[in-house]
Amino acid sequence: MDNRDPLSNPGYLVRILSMVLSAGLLAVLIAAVVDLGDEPTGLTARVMEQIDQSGVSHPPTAVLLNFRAYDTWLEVAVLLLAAWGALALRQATRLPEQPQATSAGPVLDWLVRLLVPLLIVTGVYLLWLGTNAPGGAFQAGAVIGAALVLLRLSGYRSVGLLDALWLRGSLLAGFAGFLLIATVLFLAGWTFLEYPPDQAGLLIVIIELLITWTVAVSFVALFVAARPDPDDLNTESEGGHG
Amino acid sequence: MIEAAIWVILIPLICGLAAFAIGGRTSRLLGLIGAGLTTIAAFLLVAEVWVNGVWEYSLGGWEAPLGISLRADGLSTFMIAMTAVVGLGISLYAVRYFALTPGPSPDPSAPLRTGAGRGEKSQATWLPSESYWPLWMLLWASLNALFLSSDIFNLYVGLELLTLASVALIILERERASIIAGLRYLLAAFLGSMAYLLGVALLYAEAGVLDLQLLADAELTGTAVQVAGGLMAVGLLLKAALFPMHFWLPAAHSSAPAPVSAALSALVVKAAFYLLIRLWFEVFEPASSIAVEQVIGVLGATAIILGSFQAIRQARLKMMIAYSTVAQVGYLFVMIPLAGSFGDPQDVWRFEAWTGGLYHALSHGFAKASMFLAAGVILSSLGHDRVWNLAGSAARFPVIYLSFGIAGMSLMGLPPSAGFVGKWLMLTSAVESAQWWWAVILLVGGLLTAGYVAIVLSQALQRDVEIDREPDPIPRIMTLSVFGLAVLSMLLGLRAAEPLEFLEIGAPFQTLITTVEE
Repeated sequence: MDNRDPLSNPGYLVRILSMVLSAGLLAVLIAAVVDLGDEPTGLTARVMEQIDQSGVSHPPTAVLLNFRAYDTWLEVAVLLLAAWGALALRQATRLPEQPQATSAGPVLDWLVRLLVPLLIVTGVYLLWLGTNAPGGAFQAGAVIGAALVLLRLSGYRSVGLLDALWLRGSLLAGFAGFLLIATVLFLAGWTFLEYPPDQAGLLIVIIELLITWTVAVSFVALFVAARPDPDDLNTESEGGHG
Repeated sequence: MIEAAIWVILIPLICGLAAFAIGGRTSRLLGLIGAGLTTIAAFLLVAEVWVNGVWEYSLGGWEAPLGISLRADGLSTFMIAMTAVVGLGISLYAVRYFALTPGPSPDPSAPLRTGAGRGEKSQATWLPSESYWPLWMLLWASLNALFLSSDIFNLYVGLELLTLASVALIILERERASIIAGLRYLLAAFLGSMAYLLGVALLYAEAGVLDLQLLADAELTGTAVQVAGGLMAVGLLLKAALFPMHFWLPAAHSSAPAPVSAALSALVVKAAFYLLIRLWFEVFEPASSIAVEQVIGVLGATAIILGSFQAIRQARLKMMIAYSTVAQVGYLFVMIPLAGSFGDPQDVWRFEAWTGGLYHALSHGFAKASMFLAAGVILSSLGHDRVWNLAGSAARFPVIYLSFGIAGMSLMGLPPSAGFVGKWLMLTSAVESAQWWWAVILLVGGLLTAGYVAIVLSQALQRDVEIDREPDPIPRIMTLSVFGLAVLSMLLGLRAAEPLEFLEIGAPFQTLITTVEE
């Protein structure tokens, strides 16, 4: 990196200044935390009161996908923007395959064959678990995304199989699913982002499925786009077509 | 009831998503449809709030504090309407702008190769013109979502969406300067978001609710609340680029494509400003103090003076306009000591200062959008925007420079512009509250603004100058949107009574007509 860049090679003054600032922030935060009341505040009790109507039985899932579904929806849009921006910067319309790694030995091969199915099963299990225990779309997406990254790193075909249209669709799926369900129900006369109580569970599972896939592909997209050498990416994209 | 407020968020999201999914030339059409429909929805909302007063909505049928509420009072709707008109102007301009500038040439020294732009794959590359529309729609949606949200955590999500859309738009043309500026902006804005989020966590721990109205009703005080307020304020000041936290702004705003620069300066910094004053005067009012407010005012005053001087010194037009934004943001924050705890709750001049600051934000929105769009025309037509080489170019595009002059008058605060109304209200308030020092700053700032506007116009208006290159013709729609925005920044000064009355709806102050609202 550029040595003249003050951020990568800060002088003493910058170091001392940032130390003083950090210490000051710490002191202020400690003062604030000490000042906080002893009684627990928060909305846990209210969540438990209403959870029967949410369609799921795990409180965080009820909060994320029903009570505060609006937050989650916008977060999915944040994820979409991040992946989209990274791919646009790299001018990548697909996620190219890694050329067959020369160092991939039998041990790696064996490990990948063992781990990937395990990761996929774990991911789907986490997704299914989300309705009544810790788990859910984001965790499941992260695990499946990790499986895809592992496949790609060890030279197997994976996300490179998605053509430009499918990649686009995968990145958009979570956000679009939310948008479609919310808009259709809104036009049908429901409150915006309200689920009909008897279908709430089903709709939440559909949305979670879509978000899982979007999260997984977005993670791989960010991973691929973060490669330091853009030339590498472009030559691969030629290969990916062949 | 058509719930126009829901549609001002939904329409740009739907059009943006469709533009993402379909891409190609259709995205431009979808963007234009989105801009038109969102503007219509925004004015339906204005009508609704004007007739029925404050509008409230519990998303998903879950009432606060469990769920998230949307709320449109005079202030929110005012910002949404401003965004709609400025956004429509920018959209009309952008239709032709990206046709004029086909994006970066395949320069071998460019840091990032346009490798996919060959052969049959040229269909599938990321052209700035195609990526612009979905990103711009998402930016617009996030602005409206931010203005409507009544939940401090949801506002954080809105800020994140806004930041990422802005960064993606800044780096749209993938030029080295804009990528560096975009990354700096990203880091600065994330630092701001983190500070804000830390404040949200503290506030939630203290009060147990996230809803703005419930927080305001709780009348919070104490160390933890002050720390939370301080963190949130610093985070938002960083995003609003108040001196000395403006370091990221000039490069980011000037290196972006013109329609993006206009949106960033006219709208995006206003979103952080909006959120700050909403928190300051509604949630943190009891925890605030005269000393802190005066410090904010001093930072604002410094921004006015130093930002204007920097603007005068700039050699490039877009940099000059970006520094002008730094200075104009200063005015917005001089409002804080004027409307703050210096006076008693029943003093009407506090409300005058508050509306003055907001009217200044409105006038700056129109004027600055017009100026950046004008600079975009000059840059793409002349091939450069060096201030000292503009000599005689007014003969080539007189309407563009006329618009620049009109917008400049509004920034200076000359009557009868909207800028004059805003400044006049703030001046009155400074005199009535006996805080005369702010009045001096407001007047000196106007003179300095006249300085840099005059530099540009005096260069452009020189006669009998040989121009080394015949400038390219400008599409009429671009000239029209530049002119329209400038004229609006003037006309809104002639017709200020209704917008000012509109701001009283749900205002957190003792006003002439309404009673004090908690």
